[in-house]
Amino acid sequence: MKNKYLIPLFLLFALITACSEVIDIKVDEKEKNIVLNSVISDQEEIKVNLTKSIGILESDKKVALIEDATVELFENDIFIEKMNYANGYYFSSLIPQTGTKYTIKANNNVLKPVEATTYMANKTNIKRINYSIDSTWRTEQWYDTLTQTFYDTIIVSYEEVKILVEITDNPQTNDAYMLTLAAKRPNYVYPPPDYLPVKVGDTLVTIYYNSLNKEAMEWVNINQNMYGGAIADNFFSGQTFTFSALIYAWDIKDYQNNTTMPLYINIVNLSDDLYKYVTSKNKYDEASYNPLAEPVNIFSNVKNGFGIFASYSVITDSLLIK
Amino acid sequence: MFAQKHTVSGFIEDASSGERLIGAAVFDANKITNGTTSNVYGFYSLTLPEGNIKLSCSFVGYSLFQKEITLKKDTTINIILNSDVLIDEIVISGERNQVEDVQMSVVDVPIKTIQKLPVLLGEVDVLKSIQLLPGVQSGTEGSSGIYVRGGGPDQNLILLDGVPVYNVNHLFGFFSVFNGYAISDITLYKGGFPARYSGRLSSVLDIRMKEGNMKKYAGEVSIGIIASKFTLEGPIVKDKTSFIISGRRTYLDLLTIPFQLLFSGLNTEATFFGGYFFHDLNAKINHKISDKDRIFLSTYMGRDKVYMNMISKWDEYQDKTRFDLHWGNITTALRWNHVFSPKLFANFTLTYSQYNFVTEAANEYQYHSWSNPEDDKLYTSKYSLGYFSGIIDEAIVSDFDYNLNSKNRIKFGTNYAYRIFKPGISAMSITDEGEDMEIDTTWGNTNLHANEFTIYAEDEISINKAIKVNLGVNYSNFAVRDTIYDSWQPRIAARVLMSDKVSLKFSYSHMTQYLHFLTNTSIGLPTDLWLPVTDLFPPETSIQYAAGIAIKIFKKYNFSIEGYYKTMENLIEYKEGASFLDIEEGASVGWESKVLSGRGWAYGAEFLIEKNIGDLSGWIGYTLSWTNRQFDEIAFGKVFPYRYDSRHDIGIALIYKINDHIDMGATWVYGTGSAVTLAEQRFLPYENVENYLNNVEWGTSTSEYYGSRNNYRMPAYHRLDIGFNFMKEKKRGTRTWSFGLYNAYNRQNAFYVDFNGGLFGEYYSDRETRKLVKYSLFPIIPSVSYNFKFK
Repeated sequence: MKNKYLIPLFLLFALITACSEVIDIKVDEKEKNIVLNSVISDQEEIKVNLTKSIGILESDKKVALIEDATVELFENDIFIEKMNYANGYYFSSLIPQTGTKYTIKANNNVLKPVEATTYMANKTNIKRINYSIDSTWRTEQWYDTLTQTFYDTIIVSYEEVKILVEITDNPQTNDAYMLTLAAKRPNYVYPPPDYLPVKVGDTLVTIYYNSLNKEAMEWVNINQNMYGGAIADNFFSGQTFTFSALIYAWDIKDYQNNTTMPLYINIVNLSDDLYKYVTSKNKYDEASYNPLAEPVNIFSNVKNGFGIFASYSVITDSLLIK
Repeated sequence: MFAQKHTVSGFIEDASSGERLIGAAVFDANKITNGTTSNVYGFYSLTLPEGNIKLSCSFVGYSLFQKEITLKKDTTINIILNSDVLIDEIVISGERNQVEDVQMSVVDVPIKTIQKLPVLLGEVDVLKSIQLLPGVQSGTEGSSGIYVRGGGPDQNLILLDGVPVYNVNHLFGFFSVFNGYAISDITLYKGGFPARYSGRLSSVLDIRMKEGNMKKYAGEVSIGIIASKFTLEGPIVKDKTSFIISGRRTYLDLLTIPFQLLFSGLNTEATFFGGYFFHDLNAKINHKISDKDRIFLSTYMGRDKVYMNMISKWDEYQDKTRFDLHWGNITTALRWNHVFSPKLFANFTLTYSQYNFVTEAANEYQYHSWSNPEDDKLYTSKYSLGYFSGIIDEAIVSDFDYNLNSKNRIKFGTNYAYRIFKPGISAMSITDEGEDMEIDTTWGNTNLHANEFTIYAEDEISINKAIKVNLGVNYSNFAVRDTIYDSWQPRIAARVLMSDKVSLKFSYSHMTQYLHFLTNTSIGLPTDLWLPVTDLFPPETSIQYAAGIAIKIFKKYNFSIEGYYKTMENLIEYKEGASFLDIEEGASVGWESKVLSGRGWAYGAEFLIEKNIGDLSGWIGYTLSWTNRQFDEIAFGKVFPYRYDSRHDIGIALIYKINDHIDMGATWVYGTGSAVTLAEQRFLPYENVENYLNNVEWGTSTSEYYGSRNNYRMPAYHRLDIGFNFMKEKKRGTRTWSFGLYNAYNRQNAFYVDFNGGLFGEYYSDRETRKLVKYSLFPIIPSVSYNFKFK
């Protein structure tokens, strides 16, 4: 029923554009800051990207890498090493350990030095996994533009798989939890002359699912291959929680061989910082489509700068659905 | 041995119209410290020692009334005041004696003043005149919104004849719903609230309608640029029953009809009519049953409407589409005044207030059967869609004034209100002859019902000649959704008379508000929603401390300084990223997930100098203030300035009587620019780092950093308005031509600022050309209006 707002907005717009006069006004440019971005996991070495913030009136093209900074890594407040720059990142040789505190300090002697701290997210055990298969009948109508009529409904059937993943929260930590699902999808080539399929390998593909949880779930993208519904542990602190996800059966079927592919179930622990960052970024993106929305500040834990230094860890189980 | 005391009481009336006069001073001229003022129904009660007294009554614009009597017993004297043409100078301030009065932070603005001040498009506007007072911010350019001492627009209790008005805006806030020609008295309380008022945190605006002339018929017509008005009043039974009716309507839509007809005439296949108007009507009947009893029935009805109708015709077919958007208030009060004794006056009122917002769209078209070419019948298909929201408020009120003795004046009373909140219902109807289809359905939010009961008592105590205090308490109880909220709200006001020209004042008031107001625009959209408190969002409360000094200088000038500090708890604000566009189905509960609860505080000092007498009269007000908000989940819990936090505010209103036929009015306002939220810098977000490093064209955009809410100040606002009134006595009455210039030096004040590419700008793809721009609404606007007041 949002249409009801269109008219007042239209009238307001008409009124303002009819009477308005547009005048440039001066805006003071703020002092630039270091932007520190690093999301670490227990699966790879720590790497940090540093860029320079730009003025509000400047082009995105003005974003510049900071390649000459001194970047220091601390573990539990003990200096570990000076990180080395290569190809846009400052690298460490250290793979983070869960439950450990990491601090990064960066200084390029031009902008204000920045500092950020995070705790490497703990891992959570998957307590139980269940699934059920259901065939859902759905009705659809179609509209004939020629006769301008809705025609008889078409019955469509989808086979769906409901996945239940039970976890227990560690009351000592302040993490959030995310469920991601993936399947190894076979890759085929079809060589002549008979063009019969030949399997040449697999690709791990993240599967989108419909979350059935009524709790405050947030759809989160950590990167292009890691996305799913996440929930902060303050909703079930110290208790168990069951993720409930619905996927289409075709997402895990190999129709060429008429087999089912294993489903990889990942429970991703997000550090509190990372959860705040991704949820605030989601809100920021949503608000950018709504001109009347209150502006959103993207969460940052970087002192004297912008960006995010946060962590996640992953535990994976697999399930073969028959 | 103490002399025995008796009470002299009665009503104070205007001799020419029989209208009762509010706030007239009554005193014993032999002992000037013994005095009182008439209440909002024109009743006074004064207890004096037995003996000879010189009963006196004064009210600006009227001759002094004096009568010598020997007071031996309780006596009733109705005072009739004659308008004094010799002192008929333009009155700027009310008759309230600022030095004597125990009440502080209160301003009376006579309607005569409001009618003389220049305004936008010549439309007399009560709220815009009030914006000129210290402690009152005006909101956005041209709007009628009032923001009192750091409070929001929802924190003003606006009463029309004692009935709360829930939406005071016409035309998205550019005009208020109050017709200046139907109003007799306006009082604004900014703090130190008497216990009889409750329900809002920041101000009480008590507006009283005229009662109607008891003596003779009178009338007034006015024709302006955008609206015309009429007022008619007179006796139904002379000195017994009177009426007044006053109405106005805009006619921009009517003026465009010829153009729309012309356009439609050129197009034979389609006709289009559309427009906007608002109208309102005030009416009142006032009947004197006896010297002790009087009843009043007053009503206000106002409506804004936007409409569009389109009819298309081809062959034998016709397609009609209609769209209506309308909103408005209806308020009604049935009042009975009764004098139980010279010491006890009572008022009983039944009130009804309703605000509705309706959107309706409908379509109707004809067609032949699609499936049967043999069928020649022309079938009709219709659909309509509507959305309805609003609030209804019904109340029964009792108020008592009890003059206990010469040292204690007590007011007490009760108020029971039943409210229905209508957060939004949609209705759809479809009928199709050909398909034999009929659908009629509604969906949306269930109405919420709430009951509020209030009881109050206050005692104005004269401790000695110098010290007077007003002690009061208000208890309220609000029941909604099986939960009961209640609140004790103590109120204290004190005055210490340093001399007959100087007094010090102090006040403390605790206020509670059981209604939340959902809006995140500053323009008074009709979609704004009133909703009751919930467990998550409990009642809003405020505590205000104020202290001040009032000085009378050279008999002509009143000077006052007031300082205040106000805290507000449980305020609501939209969450970051939320807007009223998100409040749709489920608004009665869903809104809770879109807003946050926080706190606010405001402090400042107000300076006001007024001149009430002479050819040049007016006031100069200055406010130095700070208003802040803090919400845990907004800007990471940082304290941020309220949108209408204004460090410096100046309001000057001057009226100069050039001669008996010409007067001139001028107002000048200056205010620190409103606070708005604008990005300060931009940065590459984490998820775009890889794309940036790989030179991917898409997905490398930067994100904005705001720092805090309301972190940027718009340019300072200032504006000069000038008006001239040319009066001429005619055979049948007084003719007045009024000419005005709004924004006389054409200041391009900012209505809205944004980086180009924002709400009203063009989409930008290249930020190289990005600029911060301001959108200015009203340039210099001349106005003219014609008014004729019948004798």
